[in-house]
Amino acid sequence: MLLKSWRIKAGAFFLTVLLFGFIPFALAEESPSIRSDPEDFYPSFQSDDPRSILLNVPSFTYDKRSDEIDSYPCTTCHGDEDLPPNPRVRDLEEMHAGVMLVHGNGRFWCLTCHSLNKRDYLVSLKNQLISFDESFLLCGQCHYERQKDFFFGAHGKRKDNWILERKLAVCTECHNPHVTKIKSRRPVATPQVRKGLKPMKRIVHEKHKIW
Amino acid sequence: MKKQKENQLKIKIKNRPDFSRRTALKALGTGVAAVGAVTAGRAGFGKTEVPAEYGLMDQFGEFFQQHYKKMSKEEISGVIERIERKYKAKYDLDVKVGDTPPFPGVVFGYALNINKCKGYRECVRGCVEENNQSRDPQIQYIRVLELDRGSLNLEKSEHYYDDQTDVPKDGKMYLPIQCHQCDNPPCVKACPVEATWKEPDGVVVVDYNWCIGCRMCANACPYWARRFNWSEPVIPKDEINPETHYLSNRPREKGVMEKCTFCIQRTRKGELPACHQACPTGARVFGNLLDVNSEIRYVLENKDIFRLKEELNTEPKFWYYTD
Amino acid sequence: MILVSFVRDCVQQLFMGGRYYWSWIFGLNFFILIGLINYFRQYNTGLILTGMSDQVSWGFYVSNFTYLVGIAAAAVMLVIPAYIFNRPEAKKVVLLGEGLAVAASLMCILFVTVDMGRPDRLWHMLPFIGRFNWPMSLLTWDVIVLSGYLLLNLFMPLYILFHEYSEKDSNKKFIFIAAVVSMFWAISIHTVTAFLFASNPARPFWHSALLAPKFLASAFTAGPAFIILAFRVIDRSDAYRIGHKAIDLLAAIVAIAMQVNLLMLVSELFTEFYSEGTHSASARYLFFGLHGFNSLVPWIYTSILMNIVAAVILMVEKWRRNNTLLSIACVLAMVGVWIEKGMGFVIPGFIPTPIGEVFEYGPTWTEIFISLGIWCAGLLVFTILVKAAIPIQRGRLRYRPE
Repeated sequence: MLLKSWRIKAGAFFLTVLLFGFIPFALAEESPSIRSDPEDFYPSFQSDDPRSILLNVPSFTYDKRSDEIDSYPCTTCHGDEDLPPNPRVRDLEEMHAGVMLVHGNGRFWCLTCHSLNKRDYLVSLKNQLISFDESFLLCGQCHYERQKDFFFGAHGKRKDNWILERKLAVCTECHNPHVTKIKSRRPVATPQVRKGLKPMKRIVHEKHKIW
Repeated sequence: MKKQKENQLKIKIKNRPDFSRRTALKALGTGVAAVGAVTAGRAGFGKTEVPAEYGLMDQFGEFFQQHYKKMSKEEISGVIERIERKYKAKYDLDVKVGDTPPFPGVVFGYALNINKCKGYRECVRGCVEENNQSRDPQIQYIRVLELDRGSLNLEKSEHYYDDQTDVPKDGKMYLPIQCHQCDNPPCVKACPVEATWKEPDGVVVVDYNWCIGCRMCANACPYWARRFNWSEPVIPKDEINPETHYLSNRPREKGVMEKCTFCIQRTRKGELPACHQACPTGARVFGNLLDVNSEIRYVLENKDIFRLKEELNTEPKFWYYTD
Repeated sequence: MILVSFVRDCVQQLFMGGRYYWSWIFGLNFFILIGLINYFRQYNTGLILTGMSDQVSWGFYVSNFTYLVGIAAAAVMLVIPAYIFNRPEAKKVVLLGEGLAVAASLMCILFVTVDMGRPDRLWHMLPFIGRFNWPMSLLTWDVIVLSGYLLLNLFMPLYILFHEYSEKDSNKKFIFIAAVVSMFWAISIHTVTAFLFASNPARPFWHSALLAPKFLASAFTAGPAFIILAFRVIDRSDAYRIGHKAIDLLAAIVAIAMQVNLLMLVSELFTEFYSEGTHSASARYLFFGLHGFNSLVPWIYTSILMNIVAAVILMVEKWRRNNTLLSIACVLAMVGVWIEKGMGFVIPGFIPTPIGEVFEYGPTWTEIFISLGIWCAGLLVFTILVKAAIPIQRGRLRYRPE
């Protein structure tokens, strides 16, 4: 008899725990999605200012790229009346013969990115002027996913500080806009084994077969 | 302001040579054996150093130096002065040993883009130069692994890919590994004397003056991130970085363990770690995990990420991601 | 007063011995001296004089340490029958076993000390004065159980011998309690040492639940085997008749423990290789070699062969009772387990490293000489303890008030 009532009590207790145990789950708010992809990043309205994209971007600074370019400003030559703008697509023979335009596999030519009339500027697809310092506005027209990563820090390189002022390396600091593929090169010296010990003979790993 | 300076000066005078009453009491407590050990220390560990300006009192103070976390602010500044004297005697160089505390509300995290790493090993060079690692015998915190594309089996990795062939090689990917600053660090658990611990900013540090060199932590580390000073480290005088931190890149001694600290001597001042700055491809992202607007948080929330050996429940604060 | 003459009489015993005794003592001291010289060099130059590296951060020293913890634990195999079951044949020799435990624990402590990078900072481990990371760090557990075991095994024989010497009755209850404590303590020292390795998920080869029982099984082969050999030497030197009964008891223990040990080996092999994954890399390196590196393969098969032969000899009662065969089996078991602990367990745990590098290890002469010196120091301690204990046990040495 005693045993029976004990059992009932235990059963009731168990049920209570089971029922009320769910309350916290019911009350819990639905957690926000892990992905906080800034979807409203690209403006849906027509803007005449290529910089308007920066409105939705955490602020950053950058080093002036134009100081680094040897022949900048371009208008030193191109401002001359002897050198009238020529929009015809052709192979350049004299001054810029050294420029190999590999980028785009023949889809582009100079005036795709450089302004015809304002030589000290780049030019957007919508024919807006873009400074040489702000190449990211130009490149991002095609490479918009990269551009977003660049703005938010997943692509490119931050300089100096992780806190406060955010200074970024712009696209052209690493990528040659005409030949964008980064060349391979020698790595820094191979690590040594502990002093006094001999390195192991090189392991020739069986090449990994995908299948 | 002026008064503060005066106070500092007072503290400095009081603590020189740093042998406070507390340590004195402890000295008495430990007794004869300790004195024997100091003599042993003079004969043995003192031998490779130049103890001209580093007198007997300093050696005594060094022997009885307390655990970093047990010392008061004044005791620590006394210890730091003594250590700076030692570097002066040893390297004839004014090495500044800092003690910058962690930023409140900051936990450091690191992410590395494996699509961008090309295996140049520039991070290794930057790290060695910044962190006063021994050049001979060589100590490096970062190991860059060369793997066949298509497999992440580390056992098939090449650790010693040669420096006479251009990288990246066809069909290869590169995976740099350094201390992952685990949030649940097995090395800290393993240390018998609490010489290594996790700081409030999440960085696992070593008190080089407390480590007994048992190498238990090195055994416990699943990322092979700890390095031992098998002999007295050697750094050419002109290659010493004089901007140091007590818990990070100050020159080490024989017989103690060392490791990557996410360059707290830099990062606690707001600067980026040396490996981050040395990376020529921008593969590295560093920042405050607690700041929802930080770059590291953007990467962690928007990219495809993974961590090494997540199944061990070590909770590394070092992630790998892809474009 | 009695205590003073007890100490004096015991010390006096140490200086009484024949030619063999003195050349034994001299030989031991010679190797201790060589060990000391080598240790001094290592202390000054650093552990770079060893073969250890960041890849294989523990080597010969810790291997010997692990082995000797087992030897120390084995003394309890005499304590249990002697004090708990009151077996007279075990009672006769239990003190020798405890002497061995003292010597072995001392060697353990020495091996850990020479393996340390900063032995001058040993005081950092002292509770209250230093910082003792207990209970988190397994090494602190090892310090506690080892030093406790050393004290326990030093105290118990001293207590008994002192009472025999002064011809007083010793407190039986007290001895019984101490015996029970040391029984559990012996198990604990080897379990804790096994946990020291098993606590590292970074090293899958060590991270096994089988480790502690396997350690105990192999300890209860090597330890009693060593005691049997020591008894045979003492028996022959005519100093003390041990008789066959105690040796029989120990031989049976070795036989059983060796079979258990082999069973565990089989179970380990099955688990590692039936469904072999990346975590089996160390086992593959040990038993078959990895990427063409196989310096431990001959060692492990030698060890297994020795263990099997020893097990077979000890399993057949007729062979076990043959003195020569018994001695051979004991030597095989001792050496077999020694290889199994060092080259078969500690070192392969490091190969490959957690990030997949294969870097092999071999001890240097410095390591070998220092280890030899420590072994000789342990044997010297054992000799001294036995030399002082035997005359009291035989009733030759008693307190004589002047």
